[in-house]
Parts: sequence; structure tokens; C-alpha cells
Amino acid sequence: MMSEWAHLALVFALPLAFMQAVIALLPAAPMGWSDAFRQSVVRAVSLITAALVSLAFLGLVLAFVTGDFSVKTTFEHSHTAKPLLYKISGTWGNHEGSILLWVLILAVFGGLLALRGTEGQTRDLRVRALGVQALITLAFLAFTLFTSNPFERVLPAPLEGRGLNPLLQDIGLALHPPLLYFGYVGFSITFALTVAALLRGEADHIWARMVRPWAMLAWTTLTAGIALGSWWAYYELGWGGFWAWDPVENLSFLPWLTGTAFIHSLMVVEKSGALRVWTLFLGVVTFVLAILGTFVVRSGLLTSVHAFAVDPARGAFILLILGLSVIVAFGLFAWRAPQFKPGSGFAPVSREGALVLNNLFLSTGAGVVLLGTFFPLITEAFGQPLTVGKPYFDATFLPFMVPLLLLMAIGPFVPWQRLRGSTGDRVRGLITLLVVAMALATIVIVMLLWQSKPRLSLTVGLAMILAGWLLGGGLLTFVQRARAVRSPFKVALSGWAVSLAHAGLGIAVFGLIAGSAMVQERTVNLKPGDSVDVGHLTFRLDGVRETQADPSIGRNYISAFADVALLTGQGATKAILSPERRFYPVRQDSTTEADIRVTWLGDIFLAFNTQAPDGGFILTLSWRPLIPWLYFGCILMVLGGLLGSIAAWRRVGRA
Amino acid sequence: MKSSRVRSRLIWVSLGAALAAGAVLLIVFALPGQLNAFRTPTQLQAMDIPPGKSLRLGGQIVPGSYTTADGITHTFTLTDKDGGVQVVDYQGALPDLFREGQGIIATGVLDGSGGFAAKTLLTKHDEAYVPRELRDHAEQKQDTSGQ
Repeated sequence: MMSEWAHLALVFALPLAFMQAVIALLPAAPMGWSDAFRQSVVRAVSLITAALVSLAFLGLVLAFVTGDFSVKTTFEHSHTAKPLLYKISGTWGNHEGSILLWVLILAVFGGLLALRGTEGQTRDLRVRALGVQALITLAFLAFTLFTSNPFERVLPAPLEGRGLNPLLQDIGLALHPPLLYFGYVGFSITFALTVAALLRGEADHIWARMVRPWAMLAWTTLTAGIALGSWWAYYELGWGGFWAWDPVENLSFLPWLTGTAFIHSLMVVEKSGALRVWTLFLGVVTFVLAILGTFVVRSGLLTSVHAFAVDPARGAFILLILGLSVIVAFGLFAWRAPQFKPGSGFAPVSREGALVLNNLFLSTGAGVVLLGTFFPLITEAFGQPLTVGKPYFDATFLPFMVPLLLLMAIGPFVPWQRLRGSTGDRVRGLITLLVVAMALATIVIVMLLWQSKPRLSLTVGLAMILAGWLLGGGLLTFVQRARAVRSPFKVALSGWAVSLAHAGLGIAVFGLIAGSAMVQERTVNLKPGDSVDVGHLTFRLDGVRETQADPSIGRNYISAFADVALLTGQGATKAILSPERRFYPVRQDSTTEADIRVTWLGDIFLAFNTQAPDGGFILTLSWRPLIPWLYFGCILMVLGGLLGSIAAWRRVGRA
Repeated sequence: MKSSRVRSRLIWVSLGAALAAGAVLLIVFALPGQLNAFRTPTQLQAMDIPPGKSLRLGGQIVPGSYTTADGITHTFTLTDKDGGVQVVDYQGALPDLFREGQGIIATGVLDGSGGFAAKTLLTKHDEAYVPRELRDHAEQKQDTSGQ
């Protein structure tokens, strides 16, 4: 019954979104309404739409929780023997539910944009943006209702659902899609504001201030979503990989790259009014890439480990939405962009110049990733599909990232407009940074040498100095900001934001380097009592034990644990690690649950693969240095992003 | 003032063009040798592909063909709807969703003695998902088997 109401709510949201779009996008207020009245109507409709979609989503969550298997989505993706948390996360662990989540965030963000601010100055901008947002909501509501209706019924209602893919029963995966979607959809608001600016032919510092909190928030959640997805792949897929240049991963990375460029170019617009046209372009591109990211995954166009099942009608509908938004937005851009007056100028060596360089490197990087990702489709048009892998991305993407990272540490020190101060000061600054970078890299390498037998090379050493350069840049940025206000406690939020985000990336780069070049790993066949060396570590398999399924506590699988002792040099047991193998009887699936011992300097990563015909057990044992730094660095970046969002939020509406 | 603005815009535009040109160069140099063509066992038999050239082999794992002695070195046979077969060797831990009868894509090289040495195996994440190449070329279809 609840599902019927939820379905009805979703159906009603469709005409409302249409109404909102029409009223908001008419050249002038209709039927003799005043502008203020038109804004009130648009805001009210926007809030009602958000409420209706929320109701629909809540209805679907309830159907999953209560096990209403007359709803097809629930029947196919849920099961009464599943823990409550995964019943809830199961709501968006499938195509229909995840699209509804997308629409939910879209509508709620629209509602939030409507809630805030009635200032006369930005009224027209807000109304137009709400109109654009309503158009996007309309398109995706139609997509949901006509091709992916989550409320389709199965009659008569089955008694039991068909369960959920066991790989998806995981806390990382419960949180990863919502965060990613918050990021993607957050860029819908910046897109709406960008299109509104194009419609009005005006993008000043007030516009930039309005866009920045949304852009920062979208960037922050997208960063968190990508990091969480990478973390999930690292510990759950059982092979310890955190990034594989898989098409689906690349598709989430593309809007992140252009989004990063966007949040930086917005600063220039706010500060000096330069780069306006380019920033508008980025605002459009980032959202188009976000749609691409959500939906190409579901269109079946690219082959990937993470892809989902495909219905051709959906693919066509998505391409239609994508095609329309590209044509309309870029058409508008091509028509309006030449009418924008150029902003004030700046010297090539200035903060503005540094930010332009940031944008150039990021966009070129995004370009080569885009080409590599779609290469199979492009080549298929000329014959047969050819795919490119990690070597391509390493060879084409990294060369643009190295100079970007080098400049990134210096950028925050360069003054706006033009260089000031003496050459001597600048040289001293650079030498300080270089010394700090080399000191940090040395400390890290010495710690690794002291604790383990790392695989070192000249490339690794240089890369470590680059990471140290970046981390040092972040730290020195904070020192400089603190000096300017004479106290570390008086540093503005935006100063914290830039220091944390930049230093966080530096720490993450340490983890990236070690995690890709210094891993020591062996896959071995062990019988109880056998021991084996991996790098500086010695392991001994003590035995294997099984536990049965117990639905009463929500455990719907049978487990086999391999108890592996980590030995000291003297042969004493230092710790026991128990990687697990799970078997899910409902779906006849197995999963590998790695046991990871996290230390300051790296992860000891054990996976239990299977039992061999000769009776031995197959285990993958590895030492993954500095991997925790990768995720710790991401946490700092997210923290920086959050503080930056708050700082930007406070400036909205100021003249 | 105006001329300096035009000049600085010129600097940025040419820098952007230089970066784009650099990207094109890198791509042109990076691409050859890294392209992985998709082949089915039947195509592989009909073509004369030199050993050591990386490619993606897609097909269905022939039921009963999977063997392993030590659990680390794996051997199985892939087939397609046209009936071609190819023996595949793989070293390491098998993906969780590896199963006989299922369609997979193996990336690797011909070893020169008739076998295919796979470096990676792509299995499915979602039970209903079929990689596009497999759907088009390699999946066994009921009505075409006719033997």
C-alpha cells in the first residue's frame, strides 16, 4: 500500500517539475505576476517536488525494510535474511533504486537552492537556475518513470526475495554511491547557475560567490565518493588494487578533474572577473561529464568490471538526455559567450596565472583520460573496438600531473594580479620548500628502511621528493597564512581549507607511489604448519576453521577462516590474521574478505582465495607500504573541502 | 593596457595549444603496442597473430575444462558460438566470480606453443551483466549451436 502512495508521489512530481521549468524560464513573469510573486511560486513548487520525491524514496526504502516483494525491485534485490543495514542500502544497490536516489538528490538540492536567499540582486539568477534545475529533474523523473520504474509490481507477490549480490553487502559500498551521487548532482546546481548566467548574459563576482559553495560541496562529496569506492575495491575485491583505470573509475574521475579546475577558476572570477567564459565552459562540461559518469556505466557502452546489466531502451533514453543537454548547453554557450566583456587583466606570473596553469593541466589530463576511456567506442566506428589499459594512462596522464603538482605547492604563495616583493625572497622561499620536500621524503624513506625491506629506485626517490614538495607546500602555506595574521589560531577558514587540501593530496601521493611501486606480494599454496616470507614479514598458516550461517543474527553466509600467524624474527607469534572466504547459499556466490592489519607505515594484507585439489590452501600475502596514507590524505582533502565550502557559504550574497 | 591583455591572452592560448600538442604526441607514441584488440577463439584460430602481442580474448569457459594442480596455476578452455576453442593458462588467485560455463574476457598473449597466457581475467560483477563484446560475438546461443 505504502508503495502505491510512493509511486503516486513520484508520478505527481513530474507535472510539477514541468510547471516549475515553464514558469521559471519564461522571459518575463506570466499573467501579470510580479517578479517577487513568480519567485515565490517557483520556490514553493520546487519545495513540493522535493517533498514528493523524498516521499517516493522513503516508500521504496520501507518496501525494502519490510520486505514488500510485490515490488519488483525489492523482489529482485532483497531478501528477508539480510541485515537491516543492507536492506536499506539495498535500496540503491540496484539500477532502479540508484536512479531514484539520483532524482532524490536532484530534487532536494533544487529545494535547498530555493530555500536560501531572497535578495533582490540575485533573485532573477535564482529563478532561472531553479528553472534549469527543474528541467534536469523533469528529464530524470521521466527516465525513472518510463524506463526504470522502481515501483513496478510482481503479482502475485512472491514470499521471498532473490537476495543481493554478496559483493554489495558491505559498508563501503553502502556509502559509496550516495556520496558519489551527491558529488555528481551537486554539479547540477552549478550547471543550473551557469546556464542561468548564460541566459542572463552576466557572470560577475556575485555569481561566482553563489556558485562556489555548491561547487566546493560537490567537489568534496565527489572526492569522498571516489576515495570510498577505491577503498572498497582495495579491501573487498580481494586483490588489493585501489585504482585500475577501469572505464567506470575513469568516468567518476573526469568530472573530478574538471570540477577541480572549476573550483579554482571560480576564485579568479570572484577576485578579478577574469576567466569568466572559461569558467562558464567548465561549469557546463563538469555536469555533462557527471551525467556521463552516472549513465554510461548503465548504458552498456563500455566494458568494465563494475558495469551493470543493461536494457537498450535505457541506453537510448540516456543518450537522448545527454545529447539534449550537450546541444542546448553548448549551443547557448556558443551564442552567449562572445557577448561577455573581458575582465580585468593580470600578469602571466600571478595567482591568476598559476590558476590558469592549474586549469590547463587539469583539462589536458581530463582530455587524455576521456580519449582513453572512449577509445573502444571510437575505434569501433572504424572497425573493431580496441581498448587501452594502464600503460596508456600512465604514459599520457602522469606527464601532465607532475608539473601540476610542482606548481600546486607554489601557487598559493604567488600574489594576485602581479608579482610583488624581491627576487631574493622568492628564491629563499623556493629553497626552503625544496629543503622541506627533501627532508620529508628522506624521513619517509628512512622510516620504511628501518621497518621493512622496501623496493627502492631512483624513480621512487624522485617521486617521494615530489610528494614531499606537495606536502611541504601545504604546510608552508599554513605557516605563511598564520604569519600574516600573527597567530595560527586566527587563520581564516579558507586558509585552513587550502592548506589541508593541498597537504592532504601530498600525503595521498606518498601512498599512491608506495602502493603502486613498492608492493611486495606472493600468492602461495600452504598446508597448515607451512611458513613463507614476504619482504620483511614471515607468515605461518596455523589452520582453517568454518562457521555456519546464522540468519538470526543476520549472517546469511558460511565462512571459512584461514588463521595465519605473523612471526617475529625469533619465530614467536606476533599476531594472528584471519582472512575469510564467504559462501552465500542463496546465490551460490563466494566472496573474499581480506584481513588487513593497518600500521602507520603500511598494510599487511592477507586474502584467502580457495582450497587447491592437493589439499593446500591458496593465500595471497602482501605488504603494502603507505597505503593508509592514501586514505588519510583523502580524508584531509575532504576536510579541507568541507571547510572551504563553509568559507564559501559565508561569502554568498556579500557585495 | 589593452595590448598587454591581448599579449597575455596570446601567451595562455599558445600554452594551451602546446599542452594539447604535447598530449597528442604522447598519445601517438604511447598507443602503438598498447592497443588490445578483442578476439574470439574462432578468430584467433583463423588469424596468424604473433606470440607476445597483447590482446583480449573473450569467450565462455567450457564446462569441465577447468583444471588446476596446485591452485595457483590454472588451465581452462574458452569457446564461442562458432565453435572455436582456445586453451588459456593463468597464474595467481582466481576472481571470486570465476565459474565454468560463464563468459569472461582474458587479457594476455599467445605463448607460441598453442596456449594463451592470461595476465588478467575479467569476470562479472552483476549476475545479469554481459560484457558488450561477449554479447555481440562470443556468447553461446541456443539456436546457433545445431550440433
